[in-house]
Amino acid sequence: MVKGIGYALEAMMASVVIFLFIFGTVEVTSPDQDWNDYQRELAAQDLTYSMKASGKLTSFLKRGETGSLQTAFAEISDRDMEASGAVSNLPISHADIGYFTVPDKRENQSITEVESGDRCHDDLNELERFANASDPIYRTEDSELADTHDVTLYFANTNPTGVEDAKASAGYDTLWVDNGTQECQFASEDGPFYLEQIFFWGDSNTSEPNDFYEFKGIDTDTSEEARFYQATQAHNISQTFNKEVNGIRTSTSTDMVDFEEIDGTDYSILIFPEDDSITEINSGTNEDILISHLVSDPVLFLANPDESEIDNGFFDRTGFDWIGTGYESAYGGGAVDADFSPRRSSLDMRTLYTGLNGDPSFQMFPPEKVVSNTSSRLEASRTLYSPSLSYDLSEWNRTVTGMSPGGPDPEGCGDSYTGTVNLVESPPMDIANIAVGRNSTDSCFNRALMLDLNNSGTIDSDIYVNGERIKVANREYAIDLVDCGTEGECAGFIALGQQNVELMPNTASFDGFNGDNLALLGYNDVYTQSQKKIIASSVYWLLRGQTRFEGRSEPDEISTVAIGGIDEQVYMPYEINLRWSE
Amino acid sequence: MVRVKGQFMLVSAVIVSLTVMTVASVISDIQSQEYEIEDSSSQIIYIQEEGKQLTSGGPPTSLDRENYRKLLGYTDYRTEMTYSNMGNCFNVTMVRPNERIDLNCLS
Repeated sequence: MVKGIGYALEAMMASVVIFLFIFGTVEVTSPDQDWNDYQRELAAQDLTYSMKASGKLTSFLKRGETGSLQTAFAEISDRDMEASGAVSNLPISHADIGYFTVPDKRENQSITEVESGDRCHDDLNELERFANASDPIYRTEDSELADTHDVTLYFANTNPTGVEDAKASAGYDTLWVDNGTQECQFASEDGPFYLEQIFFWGDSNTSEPNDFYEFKGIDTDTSEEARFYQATQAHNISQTFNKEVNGIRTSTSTDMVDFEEIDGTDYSILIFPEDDSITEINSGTNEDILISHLVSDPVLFLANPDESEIDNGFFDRTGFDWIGTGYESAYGGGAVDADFSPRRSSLDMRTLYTGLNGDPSFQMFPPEKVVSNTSSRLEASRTLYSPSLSYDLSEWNRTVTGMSPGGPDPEGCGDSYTGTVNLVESPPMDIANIAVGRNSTDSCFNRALMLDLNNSGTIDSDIYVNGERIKVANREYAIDLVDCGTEGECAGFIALGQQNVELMPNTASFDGFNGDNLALLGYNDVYTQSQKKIIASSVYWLLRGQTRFEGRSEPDEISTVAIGGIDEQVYMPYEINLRWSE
Repeated sequence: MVRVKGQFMLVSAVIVSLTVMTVASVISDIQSQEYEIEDSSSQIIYIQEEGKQLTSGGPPTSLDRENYRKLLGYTDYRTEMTYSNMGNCFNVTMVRPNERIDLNCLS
């Protein structure tokens, strides 16, 4: 009986233990996985991969048609999925280029109403068809400027936007070019040209005419003048922007600008040509206007600044520096051989240049002795450099001989000599050549150098042995205690650094503000085709090829990434990040 | 003897319970697992395909090879790449915590 109760109790306890374990561990919960999100994520991945694998993605990107890409995604998706995103490393976004016009290239030209007896008075029907009937046609008056071009310009109020309201009309806004040979006949290339458009004001048949101007304004009420900004160089450079880059269709527009326009308009990039533009920047509040652009968008200079311009004004707030040595070989100015380096920034520039079919052998103008100063010591950088022209850093070398006995003796060797060295841009510095390395025979077998680095009057630095490096006044030197003269009584300082002349200093380092990229290329009145391609490459490089596109709907958390490359003249990698909505 | 039998039954019950608990734990883990798409698998496919395409027309230039290296930098992996002139192919190693992928002679 007792045994039976015992068995029963044991069996019940065993059963209770089993049930406790089972029910304590197994939690039967309803599935919390959102299968809808999972399916959409799968669909987004499939869409991205299919578009990439079929080559459609690359085709759309080459044409810069992100809108078509979005449409294609929506069309092939049975869930009507829409993508927003960003494309990196391809020059496909539209760029508004602001090309600064220095004051002496801003021209005013007097104008007058076309009257009876004027050469074309009765032959302007083509223009009058466009013009408001109530507003007379104006023409340029004879003047030095007009005579230079030997071509008459005609102006009309054409209200090109089609606005009927007279107050909303832009007033006189249109010009035609009568190039003389046509005798009041206006071909399509003779106009109409509207405000802010670049036109050819001349009668030249040369392959590269040099009389391009941007039509900036006209005053028929008081001064009777028309305003123009010379745009020949900008026009010639912008022709390169019309070319495909590695089979990619690019989109740019160039406006000739002054600081008033820079202040009032968002440009993708600003180009400042000629040294006079530096003078303009350092005048009044223009530096602030430039910096307000630079905090978010890049700037390119085409200039040859001098040392004073680098050490003062705007450039003093940039990472640029003046290297200030002579050249290793004779150099009389002008363009020098140019090349790219294995640095990533240089490879990116080279990729763009190759994509523009740039000649591998080319020359550029050194922008004087400006360097990027990107390393911890003053030296040239190598985004674009000259393999044939080098700075002579040996000018910074110093040798001290005939040093006097005495000085610090940290190891008690009793064999020290002191002297003074005059390193570049550093006050005279006391140094000591000391014996070190006491061995078991109680003799000191090595020499070392100590310096008064903080100019305190005491030689108390660490000990530097032969070949070690020190940095003084932003310059780095290797210490020579062997080949400097009488061993023990001399000290040599050999300047170190990259010597090849830098042809495109660039920096994103600024004093007092965080800014976008700034680059500098040497200026010349006329650039070769290769040089124009370098300028175009530098613009694309500065813009960094980031293109965003938005959908109609706010994207949710589903995202995909595709990476690939456009392989035409060069392999140009890209990344496209997509965020999806349904 | 009877006490030994009873203790054996109790020990058996504990062992069975532990087994059930282990199985149940696995079932619960599977049940609560989130299903997410791994971006990394598509990245590897893109890297493979681009490597093959780049070598299909003959040896790529040094600039093309460096740009392929840049493409590798777009992945979530730390990558190493060498180019074999003999095989006209890329050898790519992609590493991230607890994962190492060797793509040998992509051509």
